[in-house]
Amino acid sequence: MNPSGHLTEGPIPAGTISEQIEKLSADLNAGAAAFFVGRVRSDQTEGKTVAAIEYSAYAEMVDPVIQSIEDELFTSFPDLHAVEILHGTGLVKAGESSLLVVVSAGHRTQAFRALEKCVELIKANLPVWKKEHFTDGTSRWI
Amino acid sequence: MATVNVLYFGPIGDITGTPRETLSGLDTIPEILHSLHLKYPAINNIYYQVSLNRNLISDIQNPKSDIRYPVPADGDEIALLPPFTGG
Repeated sequence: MNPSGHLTEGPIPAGTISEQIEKLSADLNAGAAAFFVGRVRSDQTEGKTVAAIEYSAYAEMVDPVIQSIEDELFTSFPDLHAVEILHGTGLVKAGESSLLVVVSAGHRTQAFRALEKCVELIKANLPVWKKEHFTDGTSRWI
Repeated sequence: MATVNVLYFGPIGDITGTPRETLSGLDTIPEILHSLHLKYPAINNIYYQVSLNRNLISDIQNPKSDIRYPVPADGDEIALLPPFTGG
């Protein structure tokens, strides 16, 4: 079992987005929700093509880091209502989704700004690493 | 002397060949890192941060840093964290 509720095994299932929309319906005062979906690109590098990215995480450290990210966001954006962060682990194939961030706010301006800030904080602070797997069977850490 | 659990992530885990090991007989974090660099010389080529019990310790690789590193106790968890690349 994963020690963090913010991590999924494999890619983010598409149905998670509709679940999040459903969850938002309980908040009658959030006028805006913004979604970010990070996806695996089939990059070309030195003649090789990315088939998948393998994500690994320091799972026990994910929850406290996400708590600190949320604390910073709620301090910076007083109109913010809720933040949801979900990161895939293990193999995520090109075209599949590796990250879902949902923020809701009273109005759209802070929803958009908080979403961008949240993604940047995740990139900088979440203890997650990725390894590219190429179609020729080789791999490398990036 | 403390017995600590050391965790390796990302490319460092490939160098060590194991995701974790238990070390004993060393008192301080700099001593622990020094022993790991001797055991796994390829770690020298990788930038990393260090956490103690899931809290980052700043500037551990800066030789001019005058930070007083916390002293690990029995059962503490030390992790070597290469640059994060999630998202």
